[in-house]
Order: sequence, then structure tokens, then C-alpha cells
Amino acid sequence: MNSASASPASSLGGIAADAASRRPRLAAGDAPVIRVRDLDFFYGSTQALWGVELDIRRGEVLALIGPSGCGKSTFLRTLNRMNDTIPGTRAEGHVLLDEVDVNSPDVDVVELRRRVGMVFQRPNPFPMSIYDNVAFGPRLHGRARRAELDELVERCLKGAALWDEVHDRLKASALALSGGQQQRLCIARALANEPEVLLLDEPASALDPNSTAKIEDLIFELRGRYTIVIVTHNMQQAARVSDRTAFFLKGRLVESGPTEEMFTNPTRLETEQYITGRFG
Amino acid sequence: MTSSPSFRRRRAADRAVAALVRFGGVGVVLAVLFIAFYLVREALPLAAAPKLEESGRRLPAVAAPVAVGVEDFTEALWELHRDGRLVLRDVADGAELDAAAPLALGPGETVVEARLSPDQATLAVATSSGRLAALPLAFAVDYDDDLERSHRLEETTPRWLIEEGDGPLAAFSVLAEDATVWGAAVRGDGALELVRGRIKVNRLTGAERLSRKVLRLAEPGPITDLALLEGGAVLAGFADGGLAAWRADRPFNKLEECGRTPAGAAVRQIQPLIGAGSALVARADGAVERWMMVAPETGRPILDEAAEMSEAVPGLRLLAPSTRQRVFFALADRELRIGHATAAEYLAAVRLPAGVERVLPSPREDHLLLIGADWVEVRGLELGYPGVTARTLFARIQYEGSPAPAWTWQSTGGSDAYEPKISLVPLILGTFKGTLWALLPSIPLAVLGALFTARFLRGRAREIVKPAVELLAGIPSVILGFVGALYLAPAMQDRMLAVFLLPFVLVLLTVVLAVGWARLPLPSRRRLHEGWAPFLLMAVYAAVGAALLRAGPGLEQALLGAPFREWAPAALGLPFEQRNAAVVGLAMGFAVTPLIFTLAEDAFRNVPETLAEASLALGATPWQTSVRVIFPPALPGVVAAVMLGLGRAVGETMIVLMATGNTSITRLNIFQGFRALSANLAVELPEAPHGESLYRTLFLSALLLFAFTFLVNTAAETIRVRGRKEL
Ligand SMILES: Nc1ncnc2c1ncn2[C@@H]1O[C@H](COP(=O)(O)OP(=O)(O)O)[C@@H](O)[C@H]1O
Ligand SMILES: [Mg+2]
Repeated sequence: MNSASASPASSLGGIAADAASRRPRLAAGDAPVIRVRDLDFFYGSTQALWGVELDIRRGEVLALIGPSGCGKSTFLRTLNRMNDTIPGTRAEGHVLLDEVDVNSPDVDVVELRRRVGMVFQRPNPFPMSIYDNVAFGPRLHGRARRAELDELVERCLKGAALWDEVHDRLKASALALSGGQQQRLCIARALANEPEVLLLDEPASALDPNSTAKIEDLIFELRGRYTIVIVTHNMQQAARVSDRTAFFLKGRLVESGPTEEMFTNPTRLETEQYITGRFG
Repeated sequence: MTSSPSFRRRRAADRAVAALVRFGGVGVVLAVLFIAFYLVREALPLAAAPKLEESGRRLPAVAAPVAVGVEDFTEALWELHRDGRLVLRDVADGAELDAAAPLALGPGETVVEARLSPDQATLAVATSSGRLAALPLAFAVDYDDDLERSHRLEETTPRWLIEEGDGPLAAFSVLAEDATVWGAAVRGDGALELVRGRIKVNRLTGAERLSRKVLRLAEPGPITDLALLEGGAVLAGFADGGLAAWRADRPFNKLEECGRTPAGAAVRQIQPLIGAGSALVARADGAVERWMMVAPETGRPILDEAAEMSEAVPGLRLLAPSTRQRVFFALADRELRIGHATAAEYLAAVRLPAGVERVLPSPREDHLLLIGADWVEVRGLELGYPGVTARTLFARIQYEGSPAPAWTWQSTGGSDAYEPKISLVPLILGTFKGTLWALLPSIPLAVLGALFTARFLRGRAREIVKPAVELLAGIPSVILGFVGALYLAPAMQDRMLAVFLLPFVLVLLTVVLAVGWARLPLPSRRRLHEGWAPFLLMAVYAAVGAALLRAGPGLEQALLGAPFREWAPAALGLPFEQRNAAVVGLAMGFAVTPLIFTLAEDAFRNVPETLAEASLALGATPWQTSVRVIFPPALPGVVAAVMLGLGRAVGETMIVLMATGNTSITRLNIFQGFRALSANLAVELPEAPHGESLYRTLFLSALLLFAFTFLVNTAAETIRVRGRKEL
């Protein structure tokens, strides 16, 4: 947790200013794009997160691990305020995206979610064509020119390593795809919004090993171009794809650090116990 | 393991349940089939054509009478002979049963011609000296100890309308109405005379006297035939094919012409139909037309052609009307056509033996007499339901007394001679009118309400709303009906404008409140949003709505300068009735809206939450999510809900029965009532004589209603099932 001092000025523009510019290609570096400070989260009267402090650096792949029910998904969903959709929830503390608190009243949640995309555990393509699924976000945000859309859809499908499999049936229903293809379509759909941060909540846990491998390859492909936060239950997966890892337990962040260090030399006992499979 | 007791018990229970379910399902299907079968069975006889027996009993030769007929049972045959004698004979063997000479003819005077009225109660008798009488015909039946019938002539006195003859009449007609007997004739000198005879009864002696008044037209033209119509109008046809009509003026001073038509094919016969409300005109070319006196909005009745039979009858010789309906028999060379005047078409054609000179139906229309020069043949006749045809059910028809063709349902009237008007069009239109005005406000309300409840309402509120609305669906429709009729109708009558403004005002109010809401500080917004905002909104709606309705009458006065119910007919040309379609729409809305609401709510709720989540995560607003993600997959369910609502509205009976005036009109005007198929069945079926035309027509309309609701419901279910498969 050494982030606050290392933010280069270039990345500190306000949300509005940054939204207008196109996302630059990034190298994994030290500059945090999201800083979480003293975050408590409540479902009604039950607290699910306790004082979380975490920096997410621009361009890195951050893995969130921990036993189920420890608050990984809850934490992930505070980053793009998806928890707003659950009645009775409340966040206290700060989630700063480029130094702007996402919970402040003047933040446009639509713009926030465009910048911070999300892919869910179960593939959830819309019951529409493959093309329309990918074009959904851009159309929402007012990009409806046909040629531009065509080009964008192709780029995103290629970006999600799905183009080769579907380029000849873009008008076919997305529901006809296999589970793994559907999940990559969901990633392509999220990419079409040209987000800066991509939140993946156990994106491969509902898939077969083959599809899982493809998703992992894809995440590897995307690293450096997007800031990626991925929740995973699978230690090998975390080790394979992530630059850094954060370990949650019972709603608290136990520790975070470079993945290699976490897996070889964790500082906390609970982390070691979890990683070596003694509980979870 | 397979034979463990618990396994066997479970298997037995499974089988029992499966059998029960199958039995229930099959039972429902059978019930539906049975209802359809029953309706079809009762309506199907309508399609049968009239039938005449292939051959019949031929009576022994008789000395050619002037007129022949039978009494009610077709057991005795009456003949009027030239010498004025009336003879009654047994149909079976020709034996004479009774005889009388009621006419008391003068020396050397003979009967030259006699015409029977359509109801066969009056015989118009013209003598060789040019006298004209109306001779009432009546027969008496005696029963002996074995209940065997015997027939005799009832005593009768002729009513002489023309007492002084001046040579044989060229044409004549007689019409007996309650206490008036009309006579019209072309006299020996060529003049047309209209005679009005009033029957005066001496209270002391009981003796009847005929007080006559005569109007004369010296040179009417070469009349070939004439007939008296209702009220003493004279319809005459000329050799050149023209027609003319006259009536007596009010103080009975002179004959006034009330219609004349250009020349055409020569007029052969003018035959009044039962009730004399209209007459058939037979022409030399075989065409048959129906003419009647029509009262325009103002002024005196004029002659008008109502219809021409669909085809001409080649070799047409003579028309004979039936006794109880507007059926007629057209006799041609060796062929008989059976036609219906209202339907304006022929329903059957029958080959006849040679030598038939006249035909006459029996009083009960169950036999037809074929009359030759010196023989009479009695044949069985089955008319069926000749007045119910595709044309009378669905086409515009000009009925007796109406100035123009129209779709009318008015199945029964005051007298036996009433012309039934059985067009289903106003009923079908009425049904759709009620449905339209009920669904128009219900659909947006129910569908948007369902969307809001399923996708926006949160917390406990959502758990309250749906059961509450479902409770509303359970209100018996008879209660909605009388609330509509006794409360809504009078209440809405005084504030129609406010009722119409209400939805617009509420929408406007919502927009204003939404803008205000966005300006509220976030914490109070959050607090309110936990389920209570909608209830607050409802309170505001109720207050504003109540204020608007309260101000209603004053508003109408201020904006329109008159109450709406007076302003609408004057300014919009829309007649206003208290029990109108708007009342029904509102009352029926209470029945239809909850139905659509619950089904649509299910459809919206069935769309997986993960889709909404995906959409929101892509930065869609809740509204965009609803329109682009929730609505499309829910659409089949919503359409099914609307169609089930439609089915309900179409079949709804009590509400439309009670809250409309049940007048069968063909206007969609929301300020007037209507008569729906369902309400019509409820009103008329109990009164309809079993097995007769009206009864079967009502079954046909029931079949129509059944088919429609069945189709709508089946389509709704199909759409819903298919929609579910696609998710
Ligand atoms: N919608 C919710 N309402 C109430 N409690 C919830 C809800 N979602 C999650 N929780 C609770 O919050 C805690 C964290 O859950 P979650 O973030 O889903 O854990 P993880 O993703 O690490 O398995 C759990 O105790 C869970 O029961
Ligand atoms: Mg989770």
C-alpha cells in the first residue's frame, strides 16, 4: 500500500476530462487509477466490508482471492456502483477513480459504468444477435453510425478472441453460442464501451477447462491495455494471469502485493493458510 | 431395492396424480368440445334450405271454385264458389263438412274474383256487378269424446265496401285493420276509389254497422293491379311498368299522390306482405321488387323501393305470400321458387307438375296447396329458418318503415306482423366498441404499472401491490356493473370533460414531480426511494384527481360555456347518453386492468435479472434497460396478457348489460351506449321461443362469441408459450 505518493500528474484528470480523451495504451506501472480508502460497505444493517484500503494501478491485472462470502464481489461492485441496484445498501469511505470519489453526488453513474466495465460470473448475453450484443453499449452512448459500429464490433470481437468463430454469423442469436463463447462475447460487449477498467467476477468459474484456458489467454492478451480486476477462486489462475494479488477474508483486506511474492512469501499467516489450501 | 414399500408407495402416488392430471386435462378439453358441439348443433338448422314434399295428396276433382284454402290444421279445405257459397270439405276424402252462403248476392250476381289477405283472415270478394266486400274467414273446431277434431264454418258477415256496382272491377284490394276496413278498386268507369269503412258497434243491440267514406280519382291511368298498404295507402302498377302511390289527406278530403316511378317492365301483380308494411311487385320480365311507404324525417310518407330480389324468375306467373313471415312463393312455368322478401333472395327452387295455376301456403306454413283447374294437391312444407341468411345477418337492409338500408338488431316487436331485424353487425360492433374503450386506457395503465412493479418498485411495497391488484380482479362483475350504472354513469355525466382531462393532467403532474424529484437533495431522495415514494405519489394523484373531478362541472361551464353533455352534441355532433361507452370502459377497466397487470407483471419479472444487470453495468439507465433489455423478451408475455384481457372484455356480460343502455347502434361514439353480443344473449335468450329463428340466431351469435374468445385465448397462450421457449 504504497500508492498515494506515486501518482503521475498525467493520470489525475477529472472524470469528464478523461472521458473525452481516448484511452492511451498503458504499460503496467505504479500509477493508481483507483484508490480505495477506508471503505465500509453495508447490506442494510449487516456490514460486508470493513475498512478496505487498496490501490489499483493503471494497466495492471489485479487478482482478488479469498474464501467465498469474504466480500470479493461486493468490493468489485463498489468500484462501478453496481451495488446501487440492490435496495438498502450503503458505502462509506472513498473509492477514488482518478482522484474523484465515485460515490459523490455529481458523478454520473452512466459515465462511471462506461469507464469501469464489468463481466459477471455467469455469461449473460442479451437475447439478441451477436452484433447487437456488442453494439449495445456504443448505441446507448450515442454511437450509432453504421460504419463506425461495424468497425467497432469487429475490433471488440477480435479483442475478445471471438471474431474467427463468429464473423460469418454476426446476425445469429447470441444464445446459440457455447458458454465459453458467450462469456467472451460478454467481454467483447464490455470492451465496446472502451472502458479503462475491466472488472471480472469469476469469469471462468461456470466454464469448462478448455473455455477457461481461452479466457485466461484473453486476459493475458488484454493486460497492459486495460486495468483489470479479476475475482477468482482458482489459485493457479490468479498466479497465471495477475500482476498483483489481494487477499480478502471476512470482509477485510488481509494483504496485497505482487502475485509472485504473495504466492511464494506471504507476510500473513492467513494468506499462507489460504493459498496452501488449508481453508477456503 | 425396486420393491421397497416406500418406492412402491411413491410410484402409486405418482401414477394416481398423473391419472388425475390427465383426467382433468381431458375433461376440460371435452367440456370445451361439448360446448362448441352444442352451440353448433343449435345453430346449424339455420343453414337448411326450405323443403317441399316431392308429391302430395291430390283431392278429387271439384267444380272450379273462385278461391280455395285450408284451415289451421290442414284437415278441412274451404272453397268459395261463383254463386257465393262457402263450402268446407274434408281434405282426406273430399266429403262436404259444412256450407254457408254469407254473401247474399243479388239476382244474377256472381263472384268473379276473390283475393286472400296474407294472414288468410280476410277474403276480398269482387262480384260481377262491380261490388266489393271484405269477408272475414273463420273456422270452428269441435272435439268429440275421443278428442277427434271436426271442423265447421264460423258464422261470418261480409263488409260491403262498394255497395253499388257499375260493372266489373279492373283491380281491387282490401285491408282489414283493427276497427277499420280499407277498400281500393278501379271501378267499371276507370276511376280509382279508396273506401274507408269504420266498424261501428251499437252498444244496445250489439249490431255492427260500417260507416263508409269514399275518395275518388277520376282518371288514375291504366292500372293493372293495386294493393292497399298499412294505413290505407294505395300502391298501383300501370301497364307501362310505372308505379304510383296515393294516400288520403288528413281530414279525408282527397287522394294525395305520394310517389310515382318511371316506366319499366309491365306490372303483373302487386302483392302485400304480412302486415301490409310492404308489397312485392311482380313484373312481366320475372323481376320481383319490394316497395314500401317510408316516412322521411319530416313530411308525409313516400313510396320507396327497398330491394330487388337477387335474380329474376323466368316465366313468373304469380306470387303468394306466406302467413307468418316475409316468405313468398313465386310460381313460374313448372317451377316454384321460395324467396324471402327481407333477405331479397330465393332460397329454394322446386320442379312442379303440369297444370298448377295457383299456390297457397297453409295458415301454419306447414303445407303448400298446389291448385290446378279442377284439383288441389296438398304437400308437406318445411320452411326452416328462411329469414336468417347471410344477408339478413350481415348486410345493410331497408326494413319496413325505415328510410334507408341499415344494420339493425331489433328481434321482436309489438305484433305478429313485425319484421324481425336480426343483423349481428351492431352487436359485433357493440362488442368491439366496449372492448375498445375498455382496453384503450387499460393497456397502457396495466402494462406500465406491471413494468414499474416488476422492475422499479422495491422492498415491501412490491409485495403489497400485486396481491392488492389481484384482489381487484376478483370483484364480481355484477358489482362493477351496478356501480357503473348507478354511481359512475350519473357522476361522469356531470364531469365528462374532467374525466377525459384526468389522464393528461396526471401525466403532466408526473413529469413535473419527476423534475422536482431530481432537484431534491440526495439523502432525502434515498430515504424516500426505499419503497415509499410511489405511495406518496399516489396520495398526490388522489388529491389532484379528486380536486379536478370536483371542479368538473364548473370547468365545463367555464371552458365550454355549457355542460359537456349539451356541448358535445352541438359542437361535435356526438349524441350524449348517460349510460355510455366511457362508463363501460371505466367499469370494465376494473375487470380488465388487473388481469393484464398480473400477467404482464409475470412476463416482466420472468426476464432474468442478470440481463438487467448486464445492461446497467454497460451504463444503461433503468429506463433504457427497460426499453431495450426487459421489454423485448417480455413482449410475447405482454401481448398474451393483452389478448387475454381482450378475451375477457369481449366475453364480459354483466358490466355491459348494466352500464349501457343496450341500444343496438352502429356508432363508435364513446358518449353513446351499445349492445354487445354477450349482453344481447343474456337479455334475449330467456325470452326466445325454443327452436325458432330468434333462438337459433342467438345461438349463432353465441357461437361467434365462443369462436372469437377461443381463438383469442388460444393465440394468447401460443404466443406466451413460444415466448417462454425463446428466453
Ligand atoms: N444482496 C445481498 N444482500 C445481503 N447480503 C449480501 C448480498 N450479497 C452478498 N451479501 C453478503 O455479503 C457478504 C459478501 O458476499 P460476496 O461479496 O458475494 O462474497 P464473495 O464474492 O467473496 O463470495 C456475504 O456474507 C454475503 O452473504
Ligand atoms: Mg462472489
